[in-house]
Amino acid sequence: MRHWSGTADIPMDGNAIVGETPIDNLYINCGWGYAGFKTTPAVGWNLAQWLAQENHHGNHKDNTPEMLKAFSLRRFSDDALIDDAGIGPYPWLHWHMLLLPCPHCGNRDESEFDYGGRSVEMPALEAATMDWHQTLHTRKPMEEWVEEFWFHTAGCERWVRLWRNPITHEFASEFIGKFVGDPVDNNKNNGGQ
Amino acid sequence: MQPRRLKKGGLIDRSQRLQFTFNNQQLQGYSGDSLASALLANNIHLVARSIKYHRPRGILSAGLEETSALVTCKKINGVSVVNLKATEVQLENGLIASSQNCWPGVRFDIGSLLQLFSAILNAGFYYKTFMWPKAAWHRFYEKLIRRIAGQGRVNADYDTNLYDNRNAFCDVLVIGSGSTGLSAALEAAESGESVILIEQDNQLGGSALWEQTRIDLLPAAKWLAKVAGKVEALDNLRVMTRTLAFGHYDHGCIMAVQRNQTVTDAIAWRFRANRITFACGATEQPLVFPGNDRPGIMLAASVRQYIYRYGVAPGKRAVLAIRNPAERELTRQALIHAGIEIAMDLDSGSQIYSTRGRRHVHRVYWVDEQNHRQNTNCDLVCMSGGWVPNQQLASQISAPGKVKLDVKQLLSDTEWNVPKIDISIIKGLSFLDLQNDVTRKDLELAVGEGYEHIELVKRYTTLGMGTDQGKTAWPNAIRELERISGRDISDIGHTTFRPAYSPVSIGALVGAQTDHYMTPIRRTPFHQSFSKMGCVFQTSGDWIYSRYFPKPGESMEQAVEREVLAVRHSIGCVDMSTLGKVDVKGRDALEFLSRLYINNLDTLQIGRVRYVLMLREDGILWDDGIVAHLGDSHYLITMTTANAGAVWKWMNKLLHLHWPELDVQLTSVSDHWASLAIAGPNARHLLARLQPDFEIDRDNFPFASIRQGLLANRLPCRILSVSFSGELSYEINVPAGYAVWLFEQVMHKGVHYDIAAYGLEALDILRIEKGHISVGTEIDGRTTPADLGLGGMQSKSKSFIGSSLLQRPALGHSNRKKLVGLTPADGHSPIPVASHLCHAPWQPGTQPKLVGNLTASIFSPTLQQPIALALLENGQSDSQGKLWVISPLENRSIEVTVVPPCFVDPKGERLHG
Ligand SMILES: Cc1cc2nc3c(=O)[nH]c(=O)nc-3n(C[C@H](O)[C@H](O)[C@H](O)COP(=O)(O)OP(=O)(O)OC[C@H]3O[C@@H](n4cnc5c(N)ncnc54)[C@H](O)[C@@H]3O)c2cc1C
Ligand SMILES: [Zn+2]
Repeated sequence: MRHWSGTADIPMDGNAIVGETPIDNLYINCGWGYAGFKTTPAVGWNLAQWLAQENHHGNHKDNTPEMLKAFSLRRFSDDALIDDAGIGPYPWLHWHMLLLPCPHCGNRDESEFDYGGRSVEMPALEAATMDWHQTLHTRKPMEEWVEEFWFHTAGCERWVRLWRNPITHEFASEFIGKFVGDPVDNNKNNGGQ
Repeated sequence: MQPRRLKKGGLIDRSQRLQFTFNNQQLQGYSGDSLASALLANNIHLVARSIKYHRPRGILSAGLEETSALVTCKKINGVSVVNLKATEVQLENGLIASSQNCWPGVRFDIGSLLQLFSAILNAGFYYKTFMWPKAAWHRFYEKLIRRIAGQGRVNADYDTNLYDNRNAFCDVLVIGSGSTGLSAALEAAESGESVILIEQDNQLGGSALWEQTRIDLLPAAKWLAKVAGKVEALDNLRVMTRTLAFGHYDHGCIMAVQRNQTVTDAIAWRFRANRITFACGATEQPLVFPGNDRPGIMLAASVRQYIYRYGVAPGKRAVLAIRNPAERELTRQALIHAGIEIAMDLDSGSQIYSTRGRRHVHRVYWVDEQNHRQNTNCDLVCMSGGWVPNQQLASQISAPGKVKLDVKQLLSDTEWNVPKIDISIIKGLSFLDLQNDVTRKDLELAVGEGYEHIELVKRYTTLGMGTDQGKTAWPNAIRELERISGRDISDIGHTTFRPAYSPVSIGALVGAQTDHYMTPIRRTPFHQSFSKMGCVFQTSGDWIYSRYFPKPGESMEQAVEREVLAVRHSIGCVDMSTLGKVDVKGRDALEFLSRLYINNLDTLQIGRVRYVLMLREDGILWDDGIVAHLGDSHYLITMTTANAGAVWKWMNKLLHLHWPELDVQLTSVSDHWASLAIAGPNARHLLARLQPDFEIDRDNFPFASIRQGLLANRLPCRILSVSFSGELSYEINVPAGYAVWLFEQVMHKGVHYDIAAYGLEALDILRIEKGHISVGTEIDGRTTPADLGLGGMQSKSKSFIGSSLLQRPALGHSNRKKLVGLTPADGHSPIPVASHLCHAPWQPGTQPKLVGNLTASIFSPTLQQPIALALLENGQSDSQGKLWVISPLENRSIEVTVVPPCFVDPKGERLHG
């Protein structure tokens, strides 16, 4: 059995982004996450063929190939998401083997917790569609420390905020301090938004 | 009987003879033997064939680094386990072992003819040789490769070996019980810390068990006896033998596997320690020369171990090729002790350039310091290219716990024997990785073709990928790369060390959680009563739920039809206990629920109940249920069985993280209530017979209400007048412990009305006839309330979770799929399930334009015809044209008529009774 750790690029609905961007003549094809190995060759051909089409340059009427339409960047703000699995903007998979500092219970095995994603502050319920879209579908790039939500399912049944260093796998909680290594630089600004 | 067993000596128990078989040959060994030592005692060196060339292979080592001697083992009545190292299997009475990779047998193996093709089976051969002609791949190459590739044959029978997972915690975990590990464990334990010492061998001591040296001025054996006494006396030092650490993870986590003697049964341990001491010793490295893989060519220290620990002489006449002078002397003494003649003791200036021997080495050729070619006959070669510390585990994890890998330091004891002669003219294969048959030439080829990075060398040549993870291959390969490329070994580096350090059976990782132990089984409080009635159950998530209740001689279809008709014409009862139930209290309870659900709840009076919908943050419908207003700032809410856990987590998340200012307390009461719904035109009559102590007439207990009181003056109950079937219906909740009583009463009093208990099948048919939505079918994670015709439930005067993103253009688009009902145009053709909607019948081989999909399709007992629910683009506005349900799987197309998604009592009058 082999295992690995690292970050995988996954848009918030679990599907890739292919096509035009708000910048003229800039196209993207990214975010294939855990499932691009089988798909990307075909998508690459399709994209290349589209770009090579003569009538394409300077032509702003949407001639996106049928196959790529659903993958547009615009889908997050004004379109419906693809969401094959129907699970919503929560694409994270699970990991294991870590020790997490629950502010209520102390250091506990990671199998006792459920992951709740990067910490995001919820906009007001009446906030504009764009604000909610930003919150749900966009993330700042990973930085050295990220604040996350964890539910201590098999412990105190409380949701807690924990800091994680995705490079070193260190964890910290504001209440019981850092678990491994040096004290946390308590700069709250670098976790989510 | 055991021709190579020494007369005396060794740590074996000669009073306990063990019988075992190897390749169907009856053999004997002693308690304390490994399979390898027992084979050598019986003068069996040839135990395997190599993977690529099928060359004869023997036993190289005496430990986990063993690269050649792979066998398949089986206990009596057990299931065979493949790819075990003969050196890691402890002998057991009745053990059945056999060679792998050979046919018809290990002595005569047809695959060995492949050696003739060694010129084309070089590094990367599978990327090149089998590419042409293209068509030959499936027809020829693949079959050929499948025949000769792979190690061993997995037993596909049910695995009856025993497995488990366990956890342990300590201050200090010491890995390895050699003199270093023992001393460290003792020191830590004597200072009062809790210590666990794990050792993969079945005995403590490591090389101190057999090496004839002194530790702390005492002979090793004496020192060991002294220390063992101390270890035993310490309560805070836990010793675990036959426990192999295979993975090192973050935050002080070590995974280890504890195995029985034959390495078949296993427990996977997860240790969590504040500190870990790695005392895993070092591995002796072989020398690289042509023909260095023949049986009888062994690591020098392993030969000493066979002599002193097992009392076995692995040969009669030996050649020594050992770099380190001290080790040379120890080996000479061991050979003399075992009565093995020393044919030649090569000094570091000499170099072996060839060996001979078909199934066993019988002659060695070398160039001496004067550049003279010499040779001698022998049946044993004791070699040593130096020692490399076992740093693998320590370096497995990433920063910051990682022990940095300094290759120069790691290999400091393995300075390369600079070849005396031009090795390019030497004939024969010089093996670097015996298990994967990777030779010196393969490495040259890889570098020559541009695969110079160590990770690429690995992938191109497969060096170090075997079950031994290259423990005896990597150091020599790195030295060889240094020679070929001229680069410094610090630049060459080492491949990443990853778990598993040594193979672990998947069974051990899975543990005991197989079959019905895989997930917990949940049964409702009515389970036993139902089972007595002959109920047929089905699983639904973790639940075992009633499916239908056949009477003697009834088929499922007959039973379900009877159950449905009972509900429509008289009365039925169904278990509703699996619904999630949460008690919500607090000053802000109403505010919280108003934010959670799309409905307006301000107008909900105490004693009344409302059907409610909950969205995800992105505006998509997620769950439905009811909110019951119990009292001042006190509500009971339910959610679907499928989402009960997730909604519970979500509500807590909102309160703990996002809205901590709200004064709300949540209590899960899902398991506290048994819930039985009685549904049908006679529901009120039956309820009256249960003698509630409150008024139940239509005015005093109208639809969508909740009442609390006593049944039969005794039993506390909560009764909700809500309906999933569309009939008059009461959901009777009693404390879970009274489920049996309630069910008996309902069935007993229900006799007057010919009551039928019904299960999931009838429940589903009743809701489809009524067009009620359900999670997983219509609520599929992509639909909105408006899509399902429930847009009217949405409050316009407030914001709620999802209300903002529900306004995204695409969610309000007119061409969205909408819930519709379908009936066959001819009135009787069954509508295939899980099929699509199209404006034309399907033509095989074509890609039809799809305009919708089915969510449910049944034969309606009430209407006596097939009906279906579907999501159709544009909804009913598009129903003018002809519509077809197509099922390419069943190769059928059925013309259908679009109707409103409610087939029974569209005005909703029946539920008022
Ligand atoms: C552990 C793991 C397991 C997986 N398993 C599967 C599987 O079983 N099946 C499956 O289908 N998929 C699997 N995938 C996913 C699949 O491998 C990827 O989705 C796919 O390879 C992505 O292809 P890509 O061409 O979009 O991106 P990539 O392969 O990531 O290529 C992007 C390239 O862009 C280059 N680049 C980036 N930034 C710049 C820049 N600024 N300038 C120049 N170049 C740049 C990068 O160096 C890289 O070469 C797995 C992925 C992982 C990580
Ligand atoms: Zn906790």
